[in-house]
Amino acid sequence: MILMGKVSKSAKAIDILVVEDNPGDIRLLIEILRDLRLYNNISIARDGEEAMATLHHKKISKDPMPDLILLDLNLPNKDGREVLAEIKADPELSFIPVVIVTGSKEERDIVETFTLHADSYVNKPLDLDQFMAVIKSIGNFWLTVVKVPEH
Amino acid sequence: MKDLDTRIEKFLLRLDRLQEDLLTGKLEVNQALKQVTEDLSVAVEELRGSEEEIRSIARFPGENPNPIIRFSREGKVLYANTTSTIQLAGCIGGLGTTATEFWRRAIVKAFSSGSVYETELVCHEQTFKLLFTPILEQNYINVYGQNVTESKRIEAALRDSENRLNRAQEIAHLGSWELDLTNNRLTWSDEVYRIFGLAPQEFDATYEAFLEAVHPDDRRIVNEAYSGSIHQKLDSYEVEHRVMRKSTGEIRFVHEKCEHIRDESGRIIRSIGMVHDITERKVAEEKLFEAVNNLTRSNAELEQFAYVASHDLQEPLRMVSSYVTLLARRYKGKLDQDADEFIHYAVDGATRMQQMVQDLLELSRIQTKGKLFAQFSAQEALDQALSNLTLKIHETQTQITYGALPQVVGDESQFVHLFQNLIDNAIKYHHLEPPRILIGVSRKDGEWVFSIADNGLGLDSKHFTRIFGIFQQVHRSRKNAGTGIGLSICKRIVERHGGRIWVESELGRGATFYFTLPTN
Repeated sequence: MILMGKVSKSAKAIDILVVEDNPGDIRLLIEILRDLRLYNNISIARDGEEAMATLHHKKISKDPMPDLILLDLNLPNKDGREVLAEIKADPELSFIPVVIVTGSKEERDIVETFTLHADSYVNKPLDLDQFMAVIKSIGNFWLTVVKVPEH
Repeated sequence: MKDLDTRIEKFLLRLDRLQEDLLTGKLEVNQALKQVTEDLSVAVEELRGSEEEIRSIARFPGENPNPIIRFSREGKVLYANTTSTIQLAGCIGGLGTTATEFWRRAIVKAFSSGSVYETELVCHEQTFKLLFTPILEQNYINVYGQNVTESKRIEAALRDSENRLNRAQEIAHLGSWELDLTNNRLTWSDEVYRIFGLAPQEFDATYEAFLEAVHPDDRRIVNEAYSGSIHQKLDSYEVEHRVMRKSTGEIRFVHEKCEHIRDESGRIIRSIGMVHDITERKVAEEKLFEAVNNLTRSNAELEQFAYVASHDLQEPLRMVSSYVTLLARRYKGKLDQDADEFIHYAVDGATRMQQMVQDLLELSRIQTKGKLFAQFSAQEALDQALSNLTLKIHETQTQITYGALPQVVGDESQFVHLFQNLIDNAIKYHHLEPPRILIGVSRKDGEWVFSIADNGLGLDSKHFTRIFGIFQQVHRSRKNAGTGIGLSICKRIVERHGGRIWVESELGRGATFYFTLPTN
C-alpha cells in the first residue's frame, strides 16, 4: 500500500516504510506523519514477509529504497527481529536507518535489537502528544540530520 | 584351749605325785597342802586368763553390727546378739522361747535343703536380708542378718528413675543406645526397639539388627556416618535417615546423634547415641514446605498476572486514548456541544485508566523488578524524597520536621518512593491549616520503627486496614487524588523488606503512619 502525501520542502521525495501489523497503529502513524508533514510516500507492510518482499521488489526493479523504516518487533509470519537481521545483513539494504517502534520496554528486547544493528529504539508512548513528539524527533534526526550514502 | 588341757594334765600328774610322796612319807601333810595351794593358785590364775580369752572371742558375734541369731532345729532361740535384740526386737521372740512361724519355716527349708537359705524380713519398716546357715551335726542353725533397707531404697529409686527415663523416652520418641567397645556389647533402650517397630528387648541388640531396621536406601549413608566418624577421628556425628518397620512396612524418619568416648590413648572405648523419631516433625515440615511452595507459586503467578494484565492492557488502552485524543483535537468545536462533552469524558476516563494501569504495573514491579538489598542511609533516601516533592512542599507551605535517620539495609530507590508516597499523602490530605509533618524513628525489639505524623484530616479506624488495599481511597472527592494505589505500593515495599506498616489516627486529628524495618 502506498500513500501519496504532501510534498516536503526538500527537493528529494521522502519514502518511509512502516512495518506494523496493528491497523490502529498503522493509521495512527500515518495520521501523525501527516500532521507532522514528514513524508512523501509511506509504504506499509503488515508482516515481516511483506516487508522483505517489498524491499526485494525494490532491489529487482531498481526503485529507490525507503529513507527510513519504522519497524515493529512483534509481527506475524516473520518477526521484527528477523526482518532487522535480514536488512542489516544485506549490503544493498543495510544503509537504511531502521527505527524500532514497539510497545515493549523489556531490556532484553532493547539489547537484542541493538545487537542486530537497529539504528534506534523507541517505545510507543501512551500519550498521543508524546508519540507525536517522538516521531517528530525521529524524522528530524534520520531524515535531515543524518546523511546516508546515495544508492 | 589345748594349752589349758596340758596344764590341767600336768596339774593332775603333780597331784598324783604329791599323793605318792604323802603315802611314802617323803612329804609332810602341811608341806603337801602348801604346795597344792600354791599350784592351785597358779593354775587358777592361768585359768582366769584363759577364760578371759574365751569370753573375748565369745563376745565377737555379740559385737557384730549385724544381727546374728542361733536357733535350735526345732526353732528355739538359743542365742541372739545385741544388734539382733535391738534391730529385730519383737520380731524373733525371747531367748529360750520358740520363734515365730516365719523363722520356723525358714529353718525347716534350710535344714531340708541342707544348705544356706536366703530370705528377707521386714521388721520395724527396715528390710533385713537373712542367711539361714544350718549346722547339721550340731542340730542348730546360725542366722546372719544384714539391714538392706538403704540399698533397697537406692535400688528402688534407681528402678524408678529408669522407669521414668523409659517413659520419658517413650513420650519423646527418643531412644538411646550404647556400644561398649571393650566387650563389643550393644544395648538399646526400650524406645529404640519401639522406634524400629520391635517389642522392647525382643532380642539382643546388634549392629546388624540396627542396619536391618534402617531403610535399604539409607543403609550406606548411615554406615558411612558411623565409620566415617571413626576414620576421621571425630568425637561425634549426626545423621538423618529413614527406618522401615519390618512388621508393618511403615517408614519413619529418625535423627541420630552419637558421641564417642575415648581413653587416655585416644582409643574409642564407648559410643553413646540417641535415635529420635522425627516423623511427625518431618511430615509437618513437608506440609509446611509444600504450603510455602504453593503460596510462593501462587504469589508469583499473581505477580505475573498483574504484570501481564497491566502490561498487555496498555496496548489497547493506548489505542483508545490516542484516538480519543485525536478526535478531541480534530473535532473539538466542530460538532455539537454534546459531542464535545462525550469526548471530554472519554478522554478523562482513558487518562484515568492509563494512570491505574501504570500504577498496577508499578505495584507488580516492586517484587519482580526490585533491586538487590544494600546498605544505605535512610536519611539520604528521605532527603531525596523531600527533594522530589520540593515544589509541592513549597506550594502548600508544608513544615517538615525530622531527626537523624539511621543506616539501613534494603532497596534505596524503593525507600525514596516509600517516604515520598507517605509525605505526599500527608500533604494531600491536609486540613485547614498548613500541613505540618513530623518524621521520626525509634528502635524497638530488633526493628526500626519509622513514623510519619501529620496534622491533616485523619481517618476513622474502620478504614485503617482498607486504605492499604489496591485502589482504595477514603477521601475520594479530594482534588488531585491519585488512583488510590500509593499506600498499596508502600505496603508492598515495606513487606518486601520484612516489615509492617500501619496507621494510627482519629478523624480530624491527623494521622501517623508507622512502618518497621528489621535492624539486621
